[in-house]
Order: sequence, then structure tokens, then C-alpha cells
Amino acid sequence: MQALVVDDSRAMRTILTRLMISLGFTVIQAADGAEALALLEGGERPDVALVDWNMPVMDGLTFIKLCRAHPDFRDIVLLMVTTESERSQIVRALAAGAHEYVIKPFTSQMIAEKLEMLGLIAV
Amino acid sequence: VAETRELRSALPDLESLLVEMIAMVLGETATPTAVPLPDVPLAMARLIIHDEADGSYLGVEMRAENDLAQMLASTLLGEADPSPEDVLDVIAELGNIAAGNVKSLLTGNGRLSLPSPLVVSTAPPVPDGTVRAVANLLGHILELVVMPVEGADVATRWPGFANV
Repeated sequence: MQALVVDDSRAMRTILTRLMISLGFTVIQAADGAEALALLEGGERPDVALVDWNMPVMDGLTFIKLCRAHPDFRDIVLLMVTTESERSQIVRALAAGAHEYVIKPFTSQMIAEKLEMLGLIAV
Repeated sequence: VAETRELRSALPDLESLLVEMIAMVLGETATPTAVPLPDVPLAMARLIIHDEADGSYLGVEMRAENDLAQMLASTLLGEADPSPEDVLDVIAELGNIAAGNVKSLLTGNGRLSLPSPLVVSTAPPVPDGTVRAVANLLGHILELVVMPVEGADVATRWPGFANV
């Protein structure tokens, strides 16, 4: 299983990459939505993408909408991992096509439980 | 956004937020303290919250002794000698996480800027009405500063988006 970690913070990408590797995933990374989209257009097909919301160049919400609209990318499971914590924002992300939503700061257990709910791992 | 009185009344929540964030992101125990930041170089990140409903702005800053920020970058990235850019990245992400939760706590609905991190030789002054949540972490001081501001300066970066 492959995971795509999309976050403009190298530290956060490192944290999420370590976590996903510990859960059995291989990981590719992107620093914003445009980079992530370029990876997909280049042929990468991750099973799941963990996507930050607030990023330069292209934000996570836009990336999620584009994924959902693209016939080749719409099977990717999308997990928004963000500091945006208002209910209205969660509703926006889910309406745009995110499968699940995790608010920073998070614990490893929170991410693992979401992945289990999505059928990607067995905890 | 929030009136000065509301900011002051939010101080206990800000202290809890700071301590919980440190525990969850860094796995370390921070202790609230009244000890101010010492007069040493600081790593800091500034973000702006813009409440589009009433047009008001809040400034949020994460400030830490630069030595502490280097230690945290080393721990998070697993590198003995993190680069200055990595130190700024770590303080920026801590500021981002804190500011997002401050936004939820104080405004309920606003737009959050991207973090602007930098290293300064001494703490910049803050306006009246500023509240500070201060904590001791690993024998060093870091603080979460929330302040009323007139607006976003030209250096403020906002998330990129496209009309989709």
C-alpha cells in the first residue's frame, strides 16, 4: 500500500511519513497540492493521500476537488489532516470529497483509527 | 474578532492548548509558567486570522528560544544538526497548529494565513490587549502570543487556491 503525504511543512511530512511507514505503507511526499497533482499526473497511484488544507500554490481543498473530478484519481482515499477545526470547514472538506478529517494536533492512534475505519489497515 | 476582554478570558484555554499541542506533536511535557522569555535569540512564527464577517484581524505568534527550536527540529526530523530552514519550518508548523486552534477557539469562522517564520535577536513589542500563554519545555521557554492587530501586513502569505 502506498500513501501520499501532502503538507508544506517538512516537519509534518516527516512525522506523517514515519507514522505511515510504521503502519506498513510506502510513502511519497508533496509540498503542496500542485506538486501532489503532478505526481498523480506522472503516474503515481497512492492508495491514500493525507492532505493538509492551508498550503501555498494550491491548497488541500482544491487538490481534493481536482482529484474527485478526475476519472483516474477518484479512487484514491483522501484524508484531510489540518489545523482547520471549525465544523463548517469539516463540512466543506467532506462535501468536496474528503473521506475523513483529522484535526492537528493528532496522535498516531487517531490516524490509525481513521485508516482502519476506511478499511486501509487492521489495527 | 475578539475584544480585549475576551482575549484575556481565553488565557486558560490558550495555556491548555499550548501544553496539549506540545504533548501531542512532540511527546514532551510542558509546564505553564509566569517566567518570561529571556533576552536571547528567538525563533518565531506569525500568522494572521481574518474574520471576514466583521473585517477584524488577530495576530498569533509562536515564540521559542532559538536553542529550544533547534532541539525540537532535531527531535522531529531525526537530524543531529538541523538546518536554519528546518528550525524555521518547525516553529512555523507549531505556529500553524496553534493558530488554527486559536481561530476555532476565538473566532469560530475566519481565514488563517500561512505562517511567517523568522529568527530575531530580541522579542518584538506587542500592543495593549495582548495575551500570552507561556510554558517551560525542557528547561526553556516558549510562548503563544495572541494580539489584536489592525490588519495583515504586505508580507502576510495566504493559502493558494484555484477556482475549481
